[in-house]
Amino acid sequence: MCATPTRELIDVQDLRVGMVVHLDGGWMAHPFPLSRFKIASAEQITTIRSLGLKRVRWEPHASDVIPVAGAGVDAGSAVRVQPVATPAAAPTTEDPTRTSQRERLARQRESLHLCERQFAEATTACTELTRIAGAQPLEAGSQAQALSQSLVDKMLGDQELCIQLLSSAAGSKAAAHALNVTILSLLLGRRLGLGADELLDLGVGAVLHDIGKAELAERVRQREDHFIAAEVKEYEEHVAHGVVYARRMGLAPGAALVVAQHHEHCDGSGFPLRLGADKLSLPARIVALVNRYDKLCNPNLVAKALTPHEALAQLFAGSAHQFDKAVMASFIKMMGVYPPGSTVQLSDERFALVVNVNAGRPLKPTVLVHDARVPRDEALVLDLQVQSGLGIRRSVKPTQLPPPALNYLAPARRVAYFFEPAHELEPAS
Amino acid sequence: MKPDTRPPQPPAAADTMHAMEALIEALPHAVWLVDAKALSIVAANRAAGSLLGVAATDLIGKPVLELAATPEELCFWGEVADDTADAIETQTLVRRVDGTTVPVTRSVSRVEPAAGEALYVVALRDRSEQVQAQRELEMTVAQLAATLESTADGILVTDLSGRIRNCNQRFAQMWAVPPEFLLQHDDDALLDWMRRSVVDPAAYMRRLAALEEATMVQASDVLQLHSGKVIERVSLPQCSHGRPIGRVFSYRDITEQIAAGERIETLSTTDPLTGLPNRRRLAERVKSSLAQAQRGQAQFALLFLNLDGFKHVNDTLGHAFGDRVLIEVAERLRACLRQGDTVARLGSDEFVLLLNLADSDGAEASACRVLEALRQPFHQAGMSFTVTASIGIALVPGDGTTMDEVMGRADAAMQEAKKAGRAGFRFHRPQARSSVAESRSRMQLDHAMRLALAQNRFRLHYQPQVDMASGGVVGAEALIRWNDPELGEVSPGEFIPVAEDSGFIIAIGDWVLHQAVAQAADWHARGLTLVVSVNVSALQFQQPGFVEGVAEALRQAGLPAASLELELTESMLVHDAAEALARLHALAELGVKLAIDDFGTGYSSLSYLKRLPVHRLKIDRSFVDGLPDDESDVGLVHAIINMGRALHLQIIAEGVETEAQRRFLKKAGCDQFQGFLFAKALDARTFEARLKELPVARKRLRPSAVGSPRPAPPSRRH
Repeated sequence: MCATPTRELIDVQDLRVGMVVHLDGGWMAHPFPLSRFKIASAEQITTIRSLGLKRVRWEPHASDVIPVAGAGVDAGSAVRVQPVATPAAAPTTEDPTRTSQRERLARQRESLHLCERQFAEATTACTELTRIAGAQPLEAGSQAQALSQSLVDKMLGDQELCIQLLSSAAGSKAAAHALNVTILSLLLGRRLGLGADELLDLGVGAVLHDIGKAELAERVRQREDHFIAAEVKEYEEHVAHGVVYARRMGLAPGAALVVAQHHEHCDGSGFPLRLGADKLSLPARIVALVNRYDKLCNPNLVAKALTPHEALAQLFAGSAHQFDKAVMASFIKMMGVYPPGSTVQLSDERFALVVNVNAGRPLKPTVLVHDARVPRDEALVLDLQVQSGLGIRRSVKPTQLPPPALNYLAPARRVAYFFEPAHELEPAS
Repeated sequence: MKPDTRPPQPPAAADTMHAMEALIEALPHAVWLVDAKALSIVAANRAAGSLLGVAATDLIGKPVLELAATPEELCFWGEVADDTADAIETQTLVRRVDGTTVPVTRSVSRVEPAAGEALYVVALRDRSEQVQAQRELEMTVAQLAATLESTADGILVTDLSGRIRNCNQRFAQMWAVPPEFLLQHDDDALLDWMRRSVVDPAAYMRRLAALEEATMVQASDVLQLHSGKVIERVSLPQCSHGRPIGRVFSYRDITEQIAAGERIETLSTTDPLTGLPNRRRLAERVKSSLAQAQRGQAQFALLFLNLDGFKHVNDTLGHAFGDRVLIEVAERLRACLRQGDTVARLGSDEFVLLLNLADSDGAEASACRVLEALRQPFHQAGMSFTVTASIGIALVPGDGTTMDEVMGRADAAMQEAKKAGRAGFRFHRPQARSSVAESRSRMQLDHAMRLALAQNRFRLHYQPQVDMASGGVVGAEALIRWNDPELGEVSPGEFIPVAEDSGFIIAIGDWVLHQAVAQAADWHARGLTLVVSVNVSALQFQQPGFVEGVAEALRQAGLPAASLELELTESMLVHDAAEALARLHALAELGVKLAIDDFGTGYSSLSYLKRLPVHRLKIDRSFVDGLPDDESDVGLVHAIINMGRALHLQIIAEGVETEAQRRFLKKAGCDQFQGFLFAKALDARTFEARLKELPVARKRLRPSAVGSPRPAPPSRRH
């Protein structure tokens, strides 16, 4: 019943706590994490009124309250308000387990869909600002600022945020990469306690970290193993180009630093300046790690892709010294040992796809389990945190999965993440 | 062990520790014990030391996190410290002291050997070999899969019970297998799908059952599918350690191959127009007949057949029409054959008949049968006409031992038959060969001809046309002669066809017209009133501006139009009849006289003829030959004369050689004649001299005319 968008309109003056509202005009047009939510406080009503909207769509069915009769509600919609009470009471007569299972699945699908839409919206913004960066650098700079701001706004507050694995990522490779790095960097920065302004700079720097590649020939934009020295040099120049862009765009120093340092390593083995850990800003250290992680998960050649788990393990085992220890530890806590998108085998031999990290239990994520008896649409989602005795036995490459399991779990070719308030997704227990 | 490196232990704990150390030392796998509080190693066995590349004792005291090579390890010990976890068993990595990592299965569990004491037992099993083997296996499987997919054949692998173990995409494509069967590994559905796909499921199943039973049998079958595909199935047993473990089926789509094979076989051995065997098939049969003949077991005859004047059918009536005629000729030839004989078409209007077990009598009988079959009138596009052919016969043994020899001799004999007046047959005679060998190449002729015109080497001779009633010369047919300094006397029968092919006939025709008109004008000016006849070729007649050219020639020479006669063939007038008719009327308006040459050999209908502004018909020499004895010639000539009469046309006969012929023709009502009986074609001066002698000299001259050698009869005279 959540699937069909409501047409009911309500005057912003009549909003009450407990009403479920839809904010139109795109997700970046308002500061709420979601475009559809239940009003939780009087402050939220004030914020909605401050957006300049006269009326908003709302869902009487899902709301806890009904509006004061005749007070500004559309005549047409008032007729529909009446039958609400009956279906609202209906669930009590149904089997509560089945109902909650169905509602949970529907909610999961809806929130996944929402995340994907928001991701798509953000990649569109990213593509657009990249496009105009050469000709209208200042405008591109302020668009990057706006994009970062809208992401940061949605992350502010104390609520737990949850990483959502997307089943399909919109946009070009470059835009998806920029967005992935931005989202994970902001979430990581938030965990590491960065303030709002620092997060804003971090976001801007992350969105634009590869902007200098616009100056490179297509063939040297992605570093390849077979590059000769001259090609490597050309490739590495994207950082210098990026700094020039950052200046033209009028970026804040914090953001520009991210662009300048996103290939520097804590052990001084990075480029272009071979700076040591003490010279690197925290946002730059964050972006350096996340950038590498995304490159391992989503390399230029799909065949070389690592699962998120393998990518994390490789960062940890092979290049730990290049990255900030605290940043790395926090990243592992945030992503889990088996980040969403990893394919694994459970200790009971079943194959599964990690869909969610549980805060504080990096070894016990929430997984979608392959079970041929259950239709794919209703696939079992297990929270390993509460499944005693059930754990992850090993990580498995998608190519190692038996075909039926691969088919069922269908890990996405391109790993992409978004985020949402944690309470929106309560896994089955 | 060095007791001093161990952390200090209370005595009871030390005893426990000793027992534990002894215990883990006895285990085959790497094991170390971790103090639950300090999270550092308190004991390790020798196997642990060798796994990590260090002396076991050196591990004592090391924090567990130092050995952690994975985030998982890090997190697990973090949870242990937080008391949220106490056991794990996973496949993971450990870091050796040299920094390299080793894949292991590692289990950690908590033990409390004594109250208040807690240890974690870390047991590891080295998976290096397993991982290596796995990697190699994956590589092999990947290579195998790539190989399986890289073949153009469909592959299906089953086990001994017929369950499917593997297949490639090509297989799925070829059998149009619904993708869900493969995704779901639904063997039954897939096998049933295959059963339903074949045209004969019962036989298919019987064969499969037989193969399942005979596990070591190799088999190759061809399957017909409902889709129209034809699939070749090869089945080989799959063995492991010498014992059968399954079966590999490979499927090859041979639909195209079969179709192409049939097409190529047909194309390569038959003539596409008539469906008769072509030269290739004929060659095979001649070869086999030659082989038999060489063993002295058989004789055979080869008949080389060429249609007479077929080129004109094509030129004037179009190729589509000509093709229809060829098809009918082919059918008639086929009907003339006995079983075991072959008729082949070599191209254009050339056919060859291979008559096995035929001697000269048999060959002759067959040739007569063929000529007779062709003599029946053809009916095409509302027209009725006859086609004649010339046949050359070669006999084996005798006329050669190779296909080329035999064919060449039959061809030469056919040329002889043509020279002898066509519509007949000739056996190969040894001397005929030399004349063929000497025959000039067409290219050489074409070149010499052009030179001859430029150097003014052509001459016109004039054959008198005599009025039957008065005995006076009333006209002359202009005939071209060419005496070449290098080639000698070249007969028009030799060079005119070449000129017609190359188009040079237009230039020659033009020259003839002007020359003849000039001569006629000269005679006219000197009081000699003769109608001079000029032959016109089809190509010349079709030239735009032909009528204007004739008018101009007359005007230039100052010759009255009525003193010029143009001889046209029937076939020229049938082609593009409306245009031809318009031209004829334009010529008639000029006052030029028109005659139809070779009357009786063409294809025109009476109703058409009636509309032509023609004033004279010429009876072809081939009909005059048989006069007065040949009944059919007699009949035909009567018919022509009567028809001409009915149409109010004058009739002239050509090729009159005997007094008997002349007498017959005169009696039949023929108006004029020309031929050796009166005079051969003469140069202008001799012609004039002859005319002067005429009233008294006619009888006296006769013997010399008969005695002169007869030139090869040209196919067309100029």
